[in-house]
Amino acid sequence: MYLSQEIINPLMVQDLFQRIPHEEIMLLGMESENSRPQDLILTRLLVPPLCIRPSVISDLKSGTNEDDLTVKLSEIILLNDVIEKHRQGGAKMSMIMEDWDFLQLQCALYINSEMSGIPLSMQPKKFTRGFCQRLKGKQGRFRGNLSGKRVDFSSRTVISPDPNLSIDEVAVPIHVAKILTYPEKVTKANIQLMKKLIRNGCDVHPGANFIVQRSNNQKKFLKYGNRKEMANGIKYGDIVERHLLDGDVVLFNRQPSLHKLSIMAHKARVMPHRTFRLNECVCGPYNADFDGDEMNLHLPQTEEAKAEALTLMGVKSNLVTPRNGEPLIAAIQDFITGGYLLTQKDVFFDRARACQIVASLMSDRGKLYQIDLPRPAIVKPVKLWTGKQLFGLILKPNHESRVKVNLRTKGKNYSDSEDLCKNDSYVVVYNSQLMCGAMDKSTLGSGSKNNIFYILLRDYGEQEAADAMSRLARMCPVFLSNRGFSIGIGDVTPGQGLLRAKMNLLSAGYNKCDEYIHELNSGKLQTQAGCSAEQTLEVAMILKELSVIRDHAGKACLRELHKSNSPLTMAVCGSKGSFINISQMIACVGQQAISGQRIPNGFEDRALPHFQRHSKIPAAKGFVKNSFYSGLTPSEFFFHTMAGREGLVDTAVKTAETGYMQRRLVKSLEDLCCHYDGTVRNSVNDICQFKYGADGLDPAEMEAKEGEMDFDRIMQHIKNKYSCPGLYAISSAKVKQISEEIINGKDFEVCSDGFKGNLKKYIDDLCERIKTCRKRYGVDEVQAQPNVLYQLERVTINQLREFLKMCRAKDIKAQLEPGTTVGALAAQSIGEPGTQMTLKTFHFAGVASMNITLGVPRIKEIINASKNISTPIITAHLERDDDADFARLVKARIEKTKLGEVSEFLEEVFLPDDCFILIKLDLERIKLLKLEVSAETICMSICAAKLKVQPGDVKIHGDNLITVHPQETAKSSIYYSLQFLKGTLPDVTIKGIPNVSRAVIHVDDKGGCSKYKLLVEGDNLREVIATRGIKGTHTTSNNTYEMDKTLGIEAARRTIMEEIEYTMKSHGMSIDHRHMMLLADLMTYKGEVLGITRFGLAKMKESVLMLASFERTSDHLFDAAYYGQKDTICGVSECIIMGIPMNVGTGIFKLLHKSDKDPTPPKRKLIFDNPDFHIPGTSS
Amino acid sequence: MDDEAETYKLWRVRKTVMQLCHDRGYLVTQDELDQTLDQFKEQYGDKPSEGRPSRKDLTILVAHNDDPTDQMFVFFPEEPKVAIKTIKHYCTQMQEENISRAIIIVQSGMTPSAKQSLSDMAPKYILEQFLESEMLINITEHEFVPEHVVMTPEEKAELLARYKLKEHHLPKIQQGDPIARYFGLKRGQVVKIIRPSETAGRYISYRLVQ
Repeated sequence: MYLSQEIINPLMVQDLFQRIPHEEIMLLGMESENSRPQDLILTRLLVPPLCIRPSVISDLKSGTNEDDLTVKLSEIILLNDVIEKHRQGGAKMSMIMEDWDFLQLQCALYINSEMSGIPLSMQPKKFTRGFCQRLKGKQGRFRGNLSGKRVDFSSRTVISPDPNLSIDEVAVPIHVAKILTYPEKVTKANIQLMKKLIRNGCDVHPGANFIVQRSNNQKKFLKYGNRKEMANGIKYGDIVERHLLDGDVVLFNRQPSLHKLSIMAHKARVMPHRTFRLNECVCGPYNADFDGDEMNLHLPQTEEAKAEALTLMGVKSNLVTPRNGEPLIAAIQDFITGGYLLTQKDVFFDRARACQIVASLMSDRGKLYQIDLPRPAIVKPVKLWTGKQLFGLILKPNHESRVKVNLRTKGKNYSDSEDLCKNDSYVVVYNSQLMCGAMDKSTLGSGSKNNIFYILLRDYGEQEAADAMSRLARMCPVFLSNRGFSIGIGDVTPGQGLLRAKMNLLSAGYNKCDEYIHELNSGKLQTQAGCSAEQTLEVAMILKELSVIRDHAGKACLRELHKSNSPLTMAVCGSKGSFINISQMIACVGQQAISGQRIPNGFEDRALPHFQRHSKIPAAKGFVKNSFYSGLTPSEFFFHTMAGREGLVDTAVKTAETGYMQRRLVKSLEDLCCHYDGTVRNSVNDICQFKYGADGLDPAEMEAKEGEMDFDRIMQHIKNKYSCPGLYAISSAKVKQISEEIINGKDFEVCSDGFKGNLKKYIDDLCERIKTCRKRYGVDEVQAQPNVLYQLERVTINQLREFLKMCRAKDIKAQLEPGTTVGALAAQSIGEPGTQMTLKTFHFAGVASMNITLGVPRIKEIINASKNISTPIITAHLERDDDADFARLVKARIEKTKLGEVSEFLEEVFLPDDCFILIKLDLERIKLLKLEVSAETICMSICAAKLKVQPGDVKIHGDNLITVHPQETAKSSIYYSLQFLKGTLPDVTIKGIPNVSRAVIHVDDKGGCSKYKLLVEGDNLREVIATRGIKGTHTTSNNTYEMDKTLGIEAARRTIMEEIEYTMKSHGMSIDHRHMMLLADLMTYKGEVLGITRFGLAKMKESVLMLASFERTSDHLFDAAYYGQKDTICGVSECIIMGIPMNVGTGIFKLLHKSDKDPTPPKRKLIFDNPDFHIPGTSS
Repeated sequence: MDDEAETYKLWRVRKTVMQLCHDRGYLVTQDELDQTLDQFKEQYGDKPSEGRPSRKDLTILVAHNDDPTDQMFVFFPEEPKVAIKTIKHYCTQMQEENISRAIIIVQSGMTPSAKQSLSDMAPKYILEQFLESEMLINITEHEFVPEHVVMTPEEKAELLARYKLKEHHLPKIQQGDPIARYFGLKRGQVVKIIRPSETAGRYISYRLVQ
């Protein structure tokens, strides 16, 4: 009998599996040594011990609460009994089969309780946790217990600010200090201290909780017992678990830990009260504020851990972010305000006040240094010191200090003419003295490489920078609280002038809008390319018009408000708030927008029932003309809440999205690190980059905005620092000669050619400058006598040598250290800014109609390597880019044009003996659109379109008339064919490239002449490139997949880099190029574009443990079991899971040692091989 | 399609093919590389619709620089969709002339059976197919495509020794990658990629064909 279908039961399957010959198992991919296919059928169940499935004695009811596994096991046993009974009782076969099925199901559920495909009748009633559920998910074994563990010696409490702490300190409450302990070994040096600590015991702060004697390894609790005796009894080598003390290295952390700066090593300072306290300057990297934030603190338990934490994670070593090398730990809020107000031109102090403020610098505990008050700026009639002088003390408190910092930079409000800037916003620091300019956000705050502390850090090291910042944190609040700085109703009351200015702005804006609306209604509105009139009005005209009102109101505020206005001061110096905020408080809240549009209609044809239908006036679509001070009308208030809600939803959605993105990025990049030969490799030694970032330099050490260092600034610094008053200036030839000598010499051998090239170029420029300067003033190049003209562009021999020395030192310092986990840095540097990005997705690329997805969705698209991106755009350069007609011609070749668009009419014509469709082409329009079509080509297009029209059916009559004759077929009559043709003919594509929906001509007006290029919406790069008139070599798509397909993997790599950079830049984030390069290299090093998703990751990594700890835990484990996979445990995730040091960072260092001994130990003989142990006579 | 556009297309395709042959190390004269549209028209005519030139006229035979016996054909089939018959025809031609390599520039595609036949003949006769639209521009000249240089086995060995690598540790490039197809790369070859770099001027990377 031959059944077409047969249900085979497990026994049969097992039988089949058993009969698979040994040689053929390999074909199944199974490792034949340890596993055979029949092992896939369970014949026995493993019963885990009780500690795996604890039974809890219930408090509420009598008996115990059993674990899910126990319940399931007992169920299985019960079912077995039932089957046994049924068999013995001679029950019906179908009954037994049913029981058996049920037993199988229970066994399956025991392993995976979320199994799919269970018949509805057998669905388990209640959710249980099987083995798979224990392993997977965030709380599962892999992610919850193996990759991340709960730790001892940790604490958590609320944080609060304390500007009197140094920036690398954290204040730890005594309560916490008494619980966190450090096992300190008793030595000769500390035995006295240890004795004292032991005597103090657990309850007094500098005390100890336990002692462990070396002799017997016994742990003694110090709460009870005779502590004095125990103190006397300790010996060298005993371990005292002492309380946390001042100066201990602790790790401080705030979740979410998005980048490496979220966990830093501080020095503990035990203080009373109940909060952790930190200097406000360190809020930046943690993204902490004091509205109830809590932070965690860990105490490393070994000396090695302490040392490593202090050098690698120390606050001082992490003043700059590796994202782009900008300082992240810097003055914030009141410190900036204080610094700004202190350095105003009109701030003077008499001796008493000056001393009082200066005295604030001295509160640094343990470091009582002398402070040298400079000579007063005004001597008569009374000695007065300027604020700028006192500020100089922050940088250089006394004459002993070697710090001579130099800086010349534009401030935030720089107008013109350098140091004569009327806003006093050109900062000149000459040898640590503030000569002119008020300090503000750009010179004190984070995110700027002109920050004075950053300059200190680069030129004098981290200790000086940290100390200076700590001094600022003490001086500024003292000054500010003495001076007084607060905000009141008077600060937000607009004056007459401001009100008038606002009214003018409003009426002008309203009039403009009315005009536009009128234009629209009369149909005269000039539409933008690719937009309807309505869209043009909304997006390009009204929204733009109304958005600027608020900005202009902000400018008016700056103009009209008094200088002493507190919000204005804060906005001007950049400490908090912007002009828009001021404008909203005082003048006008402005246009409310939802996803970049005016408020949409929630009611029939209107946003709120307070307005007329179809009203397009500003007020009806969410323009709020009142300020927060004057108060919002009910409708305005409602619009405001709508926009506010959008923001809230945005943040909620964004956090989840970016968090997942970050996790994926880190998982795929975690094992990339820089090796000793400069290559970037992953854990299995596959090369990702041959030299990190093409030059092997550390992104965190980049001094200039672009490039490695700012030679001009270094030169200026050297000139100021070493004035060399007695020496003559040297000639340009000499400069050239000396520098060539040094650069080509032995000292510079360690530097790369690129750096040397840049340096030489700078020296050449310098020589050129010297030459022209000397020539201009008609003096000899070689200085022979003192002459003031030689002060211009003066360089002495010493200065030149020092300059080159400094450049060399900086270059060497900038080289990336082997072992640096560049992958993790790149992942964090790209992921972390994602959280700051607003989810506002659209942005217009020059032309209103061409919007590009941006923000988190775009980044997601790029790193997922999506094939279908939401806004694919091809940027096509033209062979002739200055000719508008040519651009239109090429556009017509690309853009899809349908027959209906170029015909005057399409009619059905019935004649007594014939019927057909008559098409009349609109030749005028064809000419206007520059379409390269004629009646013949259209005929061909009609035939080519799948309409079942034969070439013979289409006839041309003259230039502009075409007839299409329908044919009767078996399926349809001639009439239906005709109707079908009439319906479909207008949609026949007569010209253009398939997959291209639109092409827009983009005009770039630069320097008077217009440059034209095409922006093509769609996915057909190959065809667009091949189009005549397009400059194919300069045409790119923003779709990585398309680029890979048409131009190869290298072009795809380049696209990934450029697209991420573009997206980040348009959100105002700067990320070092090297991070993007590494990500792009990782995504393409396998030869195809791999996304940072579970599919891409599975192709990049081999380790089962790593993949199991990422996603689809059980699938990976089952697969690994089936194929008999091995894991070499070399990646980061695997090492964490196994609890062994990983091979990146400091773990990359290996000691290679050539041993004299034979490395393989001799094989020990088996005991049974020894004949002495054999019972005589039994063996042969 | 009108003659002007068709002629232009043929000229571009032929020019790119010439560059391709040149880049692969076949002997191509400078005149042929620099041929302008006018010269092309002069040589072959400008009425493709009337068979001047017909695609057959464009057939190219080039010899390798190092080994003149190593020759390569470039065929331009007439029919838009190339069938197995044409392939057979080309094969016999190759057999007659004892040439083992050929490139077929197809207009819009190949029948599946024709594609199959290409891979069937693979070890003995290497036939590669390119679309006309692929050859309209030379992708190696694109601004996003860095310079690729095919390495000799000795250079490859030197590279592996320098970085103490096994072959599989190198970054990869697929055999079907447009650039790999342009150079006709075979599995196991290594290309040297000279990328322009903002930071270091130029940056050299390598990829293994897999």
